[in-house]
Amino acid sequence: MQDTFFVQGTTPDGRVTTGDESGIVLRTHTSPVQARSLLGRKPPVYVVCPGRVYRTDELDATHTPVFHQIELLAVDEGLTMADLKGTLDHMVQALFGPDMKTRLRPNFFPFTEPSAEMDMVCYVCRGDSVGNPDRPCRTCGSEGWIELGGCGMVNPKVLVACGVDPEKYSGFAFGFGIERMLMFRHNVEDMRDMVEGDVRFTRPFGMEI
Amino acid sequence: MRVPLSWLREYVDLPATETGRDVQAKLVAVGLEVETVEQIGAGLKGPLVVGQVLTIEELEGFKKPIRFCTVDVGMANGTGEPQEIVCGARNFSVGDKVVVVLPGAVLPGDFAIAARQTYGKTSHGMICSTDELGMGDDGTHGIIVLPPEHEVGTDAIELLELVDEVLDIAVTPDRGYCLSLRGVARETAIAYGLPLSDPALLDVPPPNAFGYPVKVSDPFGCDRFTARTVVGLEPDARSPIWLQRRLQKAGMRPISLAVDVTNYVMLELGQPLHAYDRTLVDGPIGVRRAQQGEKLTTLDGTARVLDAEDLVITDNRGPIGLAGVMGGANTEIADSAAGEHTTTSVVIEAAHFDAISVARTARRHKLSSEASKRFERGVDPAAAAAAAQRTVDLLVLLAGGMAESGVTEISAPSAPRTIAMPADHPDRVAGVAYGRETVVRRLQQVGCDVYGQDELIVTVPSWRPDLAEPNDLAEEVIRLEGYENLPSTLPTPPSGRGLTDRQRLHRRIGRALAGAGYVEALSYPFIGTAVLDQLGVDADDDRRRTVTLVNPLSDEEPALRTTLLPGLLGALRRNDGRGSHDLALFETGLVFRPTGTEAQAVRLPVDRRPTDEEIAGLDAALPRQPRRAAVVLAGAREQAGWWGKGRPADWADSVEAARTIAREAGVELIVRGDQHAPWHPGRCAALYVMVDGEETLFGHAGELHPRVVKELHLPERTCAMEVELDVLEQAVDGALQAPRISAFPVATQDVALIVDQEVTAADVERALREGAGELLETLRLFDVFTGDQIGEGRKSLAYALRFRAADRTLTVEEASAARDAAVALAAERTGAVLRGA
Repeated sequence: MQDTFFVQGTTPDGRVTTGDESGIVLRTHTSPVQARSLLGRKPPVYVVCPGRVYRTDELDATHTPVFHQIELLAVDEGLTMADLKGTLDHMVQALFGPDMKTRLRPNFFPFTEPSAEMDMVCYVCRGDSVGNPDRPCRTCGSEGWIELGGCGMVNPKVLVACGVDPEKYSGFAFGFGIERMLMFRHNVEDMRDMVEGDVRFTRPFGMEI
Repeated sequence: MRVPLSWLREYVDLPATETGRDVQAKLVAVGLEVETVEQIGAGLKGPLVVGQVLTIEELEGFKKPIRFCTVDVGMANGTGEPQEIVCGARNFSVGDKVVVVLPGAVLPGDFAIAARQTYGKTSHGMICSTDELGMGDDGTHGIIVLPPEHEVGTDAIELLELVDEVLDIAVTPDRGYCLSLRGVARETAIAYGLPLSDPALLDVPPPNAFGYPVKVSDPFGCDRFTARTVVGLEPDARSPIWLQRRLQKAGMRPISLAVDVTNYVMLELGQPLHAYDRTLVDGPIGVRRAQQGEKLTTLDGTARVLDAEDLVITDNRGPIGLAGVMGGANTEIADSAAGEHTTTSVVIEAAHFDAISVARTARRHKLSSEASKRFERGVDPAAAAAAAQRTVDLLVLLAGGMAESGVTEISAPSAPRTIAMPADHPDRVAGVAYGRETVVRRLQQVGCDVYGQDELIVTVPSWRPDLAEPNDLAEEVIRLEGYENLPSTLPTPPSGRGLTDRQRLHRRIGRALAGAGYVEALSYPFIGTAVLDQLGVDADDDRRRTVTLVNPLSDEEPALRTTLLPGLLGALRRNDGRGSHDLALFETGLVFRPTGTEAQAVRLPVDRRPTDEEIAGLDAALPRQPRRAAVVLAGAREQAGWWGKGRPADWADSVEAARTIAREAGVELIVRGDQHAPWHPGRCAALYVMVDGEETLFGHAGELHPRVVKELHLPERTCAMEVELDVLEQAVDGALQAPRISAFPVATQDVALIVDQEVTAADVERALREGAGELLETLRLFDVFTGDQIGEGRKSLAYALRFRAADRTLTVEEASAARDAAVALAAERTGAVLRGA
């Protein structure tokens, strides 16, 4: 992938590799944890995995090359996309309040099928800014929705590669960026504040947010 | 993919009232990411008309050449008199047809036009460039010169199709067919429940033996190749305005008629096409893999050395194109304006190339083109013949060409692809009872043929190579039925196992450090050799053996950190520079410590679970990635106030931070003096913990070396601590054993010991503990004193010792004897002398 950091390797004859030949990269998302989880235990599997991820983005107000994702994986008998939707609704309500809801839009990811992009109602304007030029919303650009991340039903091929019988089990997964969530929830204007380690930014958050 | 709404309407009869935003909402719902709807010509207001230049007067004496023109605009100005206009462009002559904007008009960007004084004349309007009309920069910086057939006074807003809406769609990798008007129109038709006029439904003559000769030597790389020939192209034929405008709105620049037509058909049908100048092609066209080291100069003027995996188009001389990526300069179509040679006959290629081969070649040569973008995502192989036909038709129509009757078509045999799927599979994926009828109808809408009752046999359309598994078909049904209509249900997972011991330990440590006043800072893990030099790390130090990135963000920092200190000290410096001087920061995170003996990474199978051995083989290729914790301190550790003077942070605070961490694991810390970069030799402690009965290095703490402080521009006397949490985890010794509490009284003894300055308190303490024996309950250093009374280079350490026995009240003699034994061992080990003795 074009936004991947590749690790240099050394060939048996001592040559330093320059492309993707080493077979080692810095993970661009936390999904490898899903594969490891499925390899390490028998279904039913319900895991949540936060972690650091790396992409070759330059640091600016809305991008950082090193950030955190949190990902959920559920593999069990009879799981459906409706379960995925319900779990997402549950999550945003837990994080942002009881009247929050999510929206799914079809999208493509190789490791889920069907796949979706998940949005949640704008935390700030709750959709009031849509078609209301007098009260524009900077957080959602007056779209009323905020894009959270990708999700979908675990591609049966992934289950096969992890030794799980896709005839018996199905699963869903989603993941999103923690920094992005922090920006919405705490009105952080500049991503750089989260990576510079300025104590004036960090201290007010206390021990738990 | 940029889709002009006016063009889209040609294939789907949308209600006239539908706006771009309306279509956007519909398409987003079925899974096309319409990122923006561009309003072209928003705010544009006439009069904007075709004019003919009558006279040109060159005005002298200005910084740049200026022309004063009279232009015939017909009755558009109400009088029919010539319009007087001042113009700075020079690319037109008397008699040319141009676009004139008259006073009272408003151009895009809220640019109101009025008669105005300029260069000593009055200009009644403007002669327009593409830029000014919102048509995009055509690169000429000149004004538009129209073909002569357009009549003076004609409304140019309509003529130039200046007002439109353009949907900009980010097409996902599985939907290659939507990189065409045909594909987007298909989705639009489904979304609106309207019929589609498929532009690929054309009458195509059957292939015959007298078309341009083509030989495909690699039918895997190229499973279809259609060649058609058009001769007798008029050298002066130009692309009509409607065609140019569609290309511009779709984001492409008009170049020459033949090239424009191939681009137009590609946008329309999704089939990349290439037109070769027939007189420049030497002999039969071939398709084969390149020979290693073969050379080709592509149309962008770059000379490329080819790889043996590159698929190339050839003639008798060698490569004339990178298949599916870009043509070669040696057979390029020449425009009449370009020079001596003008193309009058072309061979049109409409071929289908292997997606992976094209993707690899494009990546290898860092050459992404409109063609390669499409082939990578899958082009409809069945549309090649129609696309060639459409190109032929347009060239005949617009360039007065004549289609030769020869039709070359080479295709590898292929069977339609079918998928077997239980009719209720989409229902089970979605958790919704759609029913067989809905499933079949939706699949038919996307172009599938469907047979069967409970078990469906689904033949997928040629333009959907992404449909290969039952779940792919389920997605089609669910998205067309609407993701927004999915119910929201919660699964009932079994009770969880909670956090692991390791996870809980890491969290406790973070909280303990935060509770001790440290602020967390998460730094980037990228380092370079410069910072290791600044830290004074030796040339053969393990911390210089790094994992290095092929494509780092900065060439100065190409490696992954082997220590947390560079990042954390950077955060300290940043804070200090911004005026926060009393600082205590911490970070926990991974460091990357290769040994140089890592195995080569193995590729795991994906058609089954890899064996444990295979997984272990993969793990063996990875460097060790232990988790560490570090703190840095500077300025005051305790603030001055009404309660007292305050206290600067010192090396002891950094050791205490390590104790805070060890305490969370219930592990005793062993502290020894050490010399280790980047710490000050006299103020550096090595920290150990017991692992399986062995003292194991846990980390270091102390004050940084003054040279390091200077090199890194840190506050004076900055202190730091770094420990490896993976070691601590190993030191955790099962469940805590409860202490036996003695109810007998405690006996207290204080001692002051004089030792040389170099002797560490840690060594003295260890000797005291060992010498005092089992009766010692606690020991505490309560004072350190230096001064004349003690002597140069000496210090006094005062300890409080508490003794207690489990089974009796200690006598004064017993306590004194234990104390004396402690002092005796300290004297023996460290040369300590009892103060006052």
